[in-house]
Amino acid sequence: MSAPLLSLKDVTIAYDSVVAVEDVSFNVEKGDFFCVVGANGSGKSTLIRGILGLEPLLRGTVSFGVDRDRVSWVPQVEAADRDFPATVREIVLTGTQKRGGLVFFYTAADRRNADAAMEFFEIEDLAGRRIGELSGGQHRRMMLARAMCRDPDLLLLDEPCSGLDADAKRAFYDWLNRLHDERGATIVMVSHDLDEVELRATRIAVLDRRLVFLGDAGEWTRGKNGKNARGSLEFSGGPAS
Amino acid sequence: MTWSDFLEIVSYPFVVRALVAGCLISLCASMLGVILVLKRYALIGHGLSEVGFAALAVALALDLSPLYVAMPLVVAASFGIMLIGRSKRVNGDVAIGVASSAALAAGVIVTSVTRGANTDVWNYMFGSVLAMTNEEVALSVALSIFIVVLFVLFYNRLFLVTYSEDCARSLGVNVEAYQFAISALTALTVVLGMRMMGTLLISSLVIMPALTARRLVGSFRALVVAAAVISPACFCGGLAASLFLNIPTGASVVAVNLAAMFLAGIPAIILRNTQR
Repeated sequence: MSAPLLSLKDVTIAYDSVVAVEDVSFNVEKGDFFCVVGANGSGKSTLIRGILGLEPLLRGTVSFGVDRDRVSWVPQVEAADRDFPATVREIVLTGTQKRGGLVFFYTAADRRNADAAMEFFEIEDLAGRRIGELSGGQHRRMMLARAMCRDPDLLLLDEPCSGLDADAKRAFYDWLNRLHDERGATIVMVSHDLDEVELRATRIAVLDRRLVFLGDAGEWTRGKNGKNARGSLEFSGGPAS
Repeated sequence: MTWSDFLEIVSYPFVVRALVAGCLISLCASMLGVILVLKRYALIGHGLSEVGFAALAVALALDLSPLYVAMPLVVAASFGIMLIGRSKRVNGDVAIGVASSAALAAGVIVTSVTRGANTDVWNYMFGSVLAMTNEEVALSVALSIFIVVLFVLFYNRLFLVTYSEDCARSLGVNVEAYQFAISALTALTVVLGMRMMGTLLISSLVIMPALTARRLVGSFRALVVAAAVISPACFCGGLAASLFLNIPTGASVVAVNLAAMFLAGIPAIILRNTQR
C-alpha cells in the first residue's frame, strides 16, 4: 500500500490558551473524497489552516506524501477581498506560483495551465472580467480553476459552498466530481452540507474539537457500533457553519 | 511672476534638486502606496513621518545628520509597527496611532527643551523646497531604482501577497519577508521625502495617488502604473504652484493631488449618470 497523501498525527492547535483542535490523527489516501464535518466552532476550518501551515501547531505533525507544489487550497470566500482590483485571469494565474525562488515570472506553460483550468470550469469568457463583478458561483469556479492550475494531487476545500444558491451548489459539486473522477484529484473538504457529504464522501471525519468519528460514508450513515454518527451530529444542534 | 522669471527659477540648482528628488520620491511613495492602500495599511506613512519628526528633533538637538539619525529610527519603527500590528491582540491602526502619538510627543518635548520651535522645526513639519541636498538626491535615485526593479521582478509575488496573505502562505510564499521589505522601503521613502514635503504632509504621497489611480483603472498592474505616473505629475504641478504662489511645497503638492483625486472621480460620475 502506498504512503498516504496526507497524514495527521496528534495535531493540536490553540488560539492563545483556547484549544481549538486537540489530538486529531488521520490519514488521507490517494483517491479519497475525504470530508470533515462538525458543528460551529468544532475546529474544522482551523484544522485545514493548520494542515496548510496557516496556523501554528501546538503539538503533533502534518506530513504530505506529495510534493507541496501539487497541493492546492480553495479558501472560504472571506479569505480574499472581492473588491481587489484584479481580473479572473490574474487570480487564476496565481495558482501556478511555486514555492521558493527569488524571481518569479509566469511561463508560457503557466499561462496554458491557467487557460486550460478556466476552460475546464467554463469561465474562459470571464477571463478579463474584474473579480468584483462575478456571481458567487462564478467566484467559486474561479477559485477552483486557480486551485486546478497546479494540477493538484491533493485539493483542500474550506466550506466551498457557503453562500451559494441550490443551482450554483449543484453545479459546483458537479465540477468537483469531475475533478475527482476525471483528473484523479484527492479531495479533503470541510463542509456543513451533510446531504452532499453523504452523497459524495468516501471517508468522513466528524470533529468536535477532537475527532469523534472517523470512517467511510457507509459507516457514517448506517451508524457505527450501534451509534448513528450523522444522527448524533444533527441531534447535537446541527453542523451549520 | 512672469514666465521668464519662472524659467529662471527652475534652472536654479536647488529647484532642480527638488524636482528630481521630488519626482522620484513621489514615484516610490505611489508604488508602495498602492499596496499599502489595498492592504488598508495606508496610515503607516503618517505614523512613520511622526517618528521621523522625533528623529529629526533628536538630530537637531545633538547636532547630528538628520538623515542618518532618521533612517535607522524610522525603519526600526516601521518594523515595530508591523510586528505589533501582526499580533492578534492589537490592530495595525492602533499600533500606528500609538507610535505616531508617542513619537510626536517625544519630538515636541525634545524640541522645547533644546532649541525651541525655530525655523528648522517649522521646515521639517511643513517642508521646504530648499531642503534637498545632493546626497539626498543620490539616495532618492538609488531608492527609486531599487523599488522599480523590485516591482518588475517580484510583481507576481507582490500581487499575490497583496491579494491574500493566506493564499500566498498556502503556496509557500514568505509573506513576512515581503511585508518587512515594503515596510522598510516605505520608511526610507518617508525619511527622504519628509524634508521637502514636511513630516505632516509626506503621507499624502503614499495615499492620494493610489486613490486617484483607483478611480481611473481596474487592475492591479494598471493601478501601479497609473499611480506611478500621476504622482510625479502632481508633484511637478505642486512644485510649480509653490514657486509661482510662494507657498510651502508640501502643501501645494497635497492641494494638486487632492484636485487630481476629485478630477479622477468625474469620469465615473458621468459614466454612472449615462448608464441610468
